[in-house]
Formats: sequence, structure tokens, C-alpha cells
Amino acid sequence: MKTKKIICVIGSGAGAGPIIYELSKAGHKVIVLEKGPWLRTEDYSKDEIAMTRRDVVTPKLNNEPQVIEFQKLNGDWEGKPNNEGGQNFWNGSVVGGSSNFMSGYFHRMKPNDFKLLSTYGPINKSNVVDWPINYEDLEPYYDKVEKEIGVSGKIIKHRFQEPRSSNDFPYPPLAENYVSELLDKSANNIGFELMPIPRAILSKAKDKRNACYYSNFCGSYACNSNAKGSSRAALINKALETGNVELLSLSKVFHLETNGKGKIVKAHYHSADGIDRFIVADIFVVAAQAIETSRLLLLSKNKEFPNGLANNNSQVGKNLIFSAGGVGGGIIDYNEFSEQDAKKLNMSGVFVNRSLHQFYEIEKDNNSKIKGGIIDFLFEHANPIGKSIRNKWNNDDTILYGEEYQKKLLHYFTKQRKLKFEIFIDWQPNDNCFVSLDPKIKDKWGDSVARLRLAANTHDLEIGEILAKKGKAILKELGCKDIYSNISSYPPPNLQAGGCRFGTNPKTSVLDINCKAHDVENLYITDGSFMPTGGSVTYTWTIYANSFRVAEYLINTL
Amino acid sequence: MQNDQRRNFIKTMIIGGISLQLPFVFSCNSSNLNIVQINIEDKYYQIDTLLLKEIADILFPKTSISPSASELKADIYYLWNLNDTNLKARKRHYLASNLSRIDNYCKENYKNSFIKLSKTKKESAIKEISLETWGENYLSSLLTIIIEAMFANQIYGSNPENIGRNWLNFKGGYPQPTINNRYPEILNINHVQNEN
Repeated sequence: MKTKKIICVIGSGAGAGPIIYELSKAGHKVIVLEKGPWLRTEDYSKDEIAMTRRDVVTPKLNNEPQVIEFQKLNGDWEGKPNNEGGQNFWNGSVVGGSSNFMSGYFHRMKPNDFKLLSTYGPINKSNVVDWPINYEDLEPYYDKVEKEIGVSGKIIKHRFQEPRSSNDFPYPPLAENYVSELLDKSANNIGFELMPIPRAILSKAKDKRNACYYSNFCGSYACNSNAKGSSRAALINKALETGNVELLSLSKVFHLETNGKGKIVKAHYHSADGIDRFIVADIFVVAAQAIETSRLLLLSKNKEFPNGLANNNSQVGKNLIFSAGGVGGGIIDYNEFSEQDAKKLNMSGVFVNRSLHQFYEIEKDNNSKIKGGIIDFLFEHANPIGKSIRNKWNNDDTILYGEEYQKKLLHYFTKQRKLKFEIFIDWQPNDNCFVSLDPKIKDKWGDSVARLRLAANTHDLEIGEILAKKGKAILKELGCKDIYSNISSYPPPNLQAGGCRFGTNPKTSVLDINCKAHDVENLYITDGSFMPTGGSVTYTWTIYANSFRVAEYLINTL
Repeated sequence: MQNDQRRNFIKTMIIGGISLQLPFVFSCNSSNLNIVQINIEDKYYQIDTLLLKEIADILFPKTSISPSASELKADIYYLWNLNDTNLKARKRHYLASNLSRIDNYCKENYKNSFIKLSKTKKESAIKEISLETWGENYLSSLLTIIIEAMFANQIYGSNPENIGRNWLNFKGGYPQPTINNRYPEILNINHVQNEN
């Protein structure tokens, strides 16, 4: 190494972890500024009250609201702060970020996802573009994630299997529920083929992390064996052992100060003791999750960058994307099965882990193809409070209470189980999905909050409906009752990306091919903000992989 | 509320039977120990815990298959919610003010307070109220609190001996919270580097 550099990393989730880990391992000094508190594995429990019913790992919206725009009948957009109701786009403001609470359904993007425009052509009112890199450029880092974060699964070759440099996953598949076997049979009966879902969950111990203990409370909860590949458990804990990391929690960065020559010199932050402080560093890496990353850049406007840092071409915050799609499900009635099979279906903790890739592309009548998506199958989350609340309504939408409600609950909890599917398709980036700063609403520190316009493209709904039919067909063949689906234009708050696209043209992108801001000498962005499109998968694996890619670039160039 | 009235509440705070079960500081009315006084943003509410229990037990009664809301100590859990300053004040005001609205409805439509109605009339009143928009919203909120109380770990003061989980054969996940990392204590956890 030539000289030891100081790297300031803002955020500590999946986009930050690889930078923290790799650069500290390479001998650089890494200072991490995380807005949330530092909770360790032993601080978490399977407490539904704390983890899902209260704002424990996200800020109180009265302190840190976001403004959500909605379109009025006359076409105008009007904003409403979400502390007055509406979706909450905060996810995991703690050390390790929302990777602590992911379910760890891990899918790579497929080669064509890097060139959607050139493969499938333009889509009306969509800003779809090709990525400036190919799948082959990212593949070594997908592979690295499998080994460093720990991905379990089994490769079964199929038409849309991504090319791989390793034969199979480094960790064998997690234990499965009997329903996985039934799903496979049902899919085969109607000409479909399901694939095992890779999971960022260790099926065997790795380093100081233990294997999955099948707690039955995975998504929305932190892992108590560290089997889940959160940024904290898989990377930050190891990075701390290098002695090169300084981790400052409860440290909210609100301004990146430049020197008038296109270089950041200080990150100013609100500290835990209420005093505003700053960090001086050579390189600044922002990974605060897509919405807050764009917000920080917009908040950092100065004479040099009057529209916000790295925003001289007005691209920051634009083309925000989410995982489009929807959900569906059906009821497995234990009365339709033998007592022994019902017991197996009722077994908690073990996973479903099945996915349908077959409609990743959809044939149109004229022999052309359009991009489809994938479907993941899973059981309804075990959270009993959530289940019970969803059941407190009659079919006519009046409230159900008393003994009839109790009977319904008893049946719901003991005589059946809900099998669900989640549809993932591309969210078309568009001119009406972006982050800006609200001109009036401030957070508890007096900083302007993010204002979100979140319009979806009707194309996404059409594709979602096509896939929903496939998911429902499998559940029908399996014998499920009360089968439903819900394709929505609402963005899932936990699956956000874009806002600071990478690309080769500074006029249409914020970041260059290495995720360095075009306009700023020492600013890198490594959360999902860089993604021009998202593929029809959850983003975390790609965010991890790209962050490892940028980390390698930084190590080679510093 | 006048200062002398407030003092009257405060001096009797350890008398009431319910007071021994509440995990927070509050006050009772010396003339009616079922009345608990809750302060939300300097606005004082007198919560009739008997009224609360009876309404909750209509929403979630003792039956051959299930414990009742009062057996689940949903009333204790409700009062804890009212007193939880981490919850949105708007929600706490809503929960505190709408309980008496049910009583007012009965006085207006049944010419008697809810508590004094026959069991049949109480059930009729709740049914009627559930069909009003405000009533459905409030009863839905109350039912949600009963549900939370039913499945919460016992350290939250409800669900004694896991009776709320056991009747549905729900086992819960491991590890369960302790008094050190339950809500709201978990909000105060923040490690610093090299703290040992």
C-alpha cells in the first residue's frame, strides 16, 4: 500500500459493509458515521411488540418525517408528511442498517438485466437504460458475496440460470418444509419448474457466526445466531477486529462540505451528545439507503454546487426505483391432508425456499419478448399479532369480534397455514418517481426532509398481473383455498434504489462507472442509489456485490 | 383539572387494586378506585377501568376456547399504551377520549351509563356502535390492543402465564425479550466502541 488514507463512510448497511471491511483490512483508516444506535446481537430478541409494533429500529416520524406526494384529480401533486399517515420509508436506522432485518432472499440480477433497453426496447414513459457495466463485470463480486456474506442454496440448471464462476453455493441449502416438495410436484404437474432460493443465511457455521437455528422469526428481526448475512454480523464485526475502524453511532450526517475545487473536505454530523461535529477524510463514501443518500447530497448545496452536491446536471434524486410487483397467497387446509402430512406442513422454522424463474421473459403474440420477473414462495410470517389483526374483519368489512372472532383465530392458527408468493418485476424508472427536499418540513435538527414522488408505470402492473396468474395456478394445483393476489403500484419501502444513477454521461447520471460522483473528486456512493434499473429481484445481493467492486477499485487506486 | 383535585388523585395513587399491577406511575381517584387519571401532554383524562374491562370483554369474552380480555390483562396493557410517551400523542389522546364516548352513547340512546346496562343491552350497544364509523374505528383500535396484550411477552404486564399464546398453541420465537431489551428499554441501548 502506498499511503494510509482516511475513508469516511456514511451509513453501515449492505452498501457500506464491504467498503468498511475491505478498506480496513487493506490498512486504511475507516471512520463510520451511522445515524442510528449500535445494537449488538445479544440486544435483539424475537419480540413482536418491539420489532414490528413500535418504532424501535426506525426514527419516530414526528422527529424525522418524510413528505409523500400524491396526485390530485386535477393532476397536481401535493405533499403530506408521513407522520400524519402514509407509508414509512425508513428502514433499519441502526448499525448494520436494514440488512439486519432482511429475510435474505438472495437473487443475482441476470445478464439481460444489465441491458434492458437494448434487449427489450423502450417502454412508454419509462427512463429505462442499459447499465454501463455487464453481468460479467459484476459476476466475480456476486461470487465473493456468496463466500464472504455466506449464501446457502443449491444450483439447478435452468434456462435463466445466471452464469457462475463457482459450481455451487459455498453453503448447502437450509432445511425445508414438506410444502416445498408439494410445490415442486404441483408446479411440475402444470408444466412449471421451481428452483431453490439462495438465502443469505448460513446453513453451517462460518468464522464466529453460528448456523441458522430456525427461529421462525427471520424477516423483520435481527438474527440471534448471526447466521443471517447482515452487514453488521458478516462484515463490520470482522472489520472492527482490524483495529482500523472507528464506528460512531447516533451520528447523523447533514452536510458534506467541499473546498471550492470539487473535493469534499468534511462531513458534518449531529452527534449523540447534541453537538454538531465534523470528520475530515480523504475519501467519502455515502451509503445511507437510496432516499437518504439523495437527500444528503441535496442538503449539501453550496456556492460550488448550488443545486446540491454532485447535482450540477440536476440528476440527484431522479429515477428512484423500487421492486415492483405484488403478493398473492392461498390457504392450506390441514383437513385436506393426512394427520402426518398436516404435522409436517405445520412444522415451524424450516423454510419454503422455492422460486419460479420461468417467466423471467414473457413471449408476446408476435414472437417478441418482454421482460417478466420472478416469483418467490414463502409461508405467511409467523408474527401472531399481525395475523390476528388481519383477521379481525368480516367479509363485508365490518369488524369481527367476540366468540366468532375467537373461533376464526383458533382455526386460523391451528387448522391451516397460509402459503404466499411475492412477485418481483422491474420498476420502470420514470419522471414522476424521485426524491427532492421539502421546502417547508424540517426534521428535529432543522434539516429539510425528503419529499418523495412515487408514481409507478402502468406497464409494471400489467406484467405483475401476468405473473400473478402463474403463482395462483401453482397454488391451485397444490389444493390451496381462498387464493388471491394483489398487484400494486405502491412502492415497497424496504426495497428502494436509484436516485444517483451510474453511467458514462454526466448529463444523465450522477456517478461514473466506479460509482464516483462525476462532479466530485472524492465522493463515492455504494448503496442501491447507483442502480439505473433493478432487475426483477430484491437488491441486496447486487448492492453487496457492487460495494465489493467499488472497494476493490478504491484499494487499487488509493 | 383543578390543583386540589389533582392532589386528591395523587395522594391515593397506591390504594387501588389496579395500581399494583401498573408498570408506571399514575394516580387513582379516592372516591372511585376504578378511575385512573392519565396525563397526556398536560391534559388529564379520567379512565374508567371498569368500563374499559367490560367493553374489552365484549370484544374478547371468556369462552370455552379462549381467555377473556380482562384475563389477558388487556386493560393494564391499554393503560400502559396511554402512558407511553414514545407513542404518538395523537393516538394516546384518541384512545383516552373515545372510551367515554361509548358511555356517552349509552346515556344518550339507552338513558343509562354502559356499566349499568344489562348484558344484552351492553352487547347491543357495542354492536350499534361498531356500525358507526367512529365506533368501528375505536373498537378496532381497542381490539388491536387486546391482540397485542394477548401475544406480548409477560414482561409487558399482560398475557399472564402465557394464557394468550397457549390457547392458540403459539410458541413464540427464541430468545424472548428481557426487562433489559424489551420496549421501551431497547430504545436506550447504544454501544460505543471499546466500552469494556
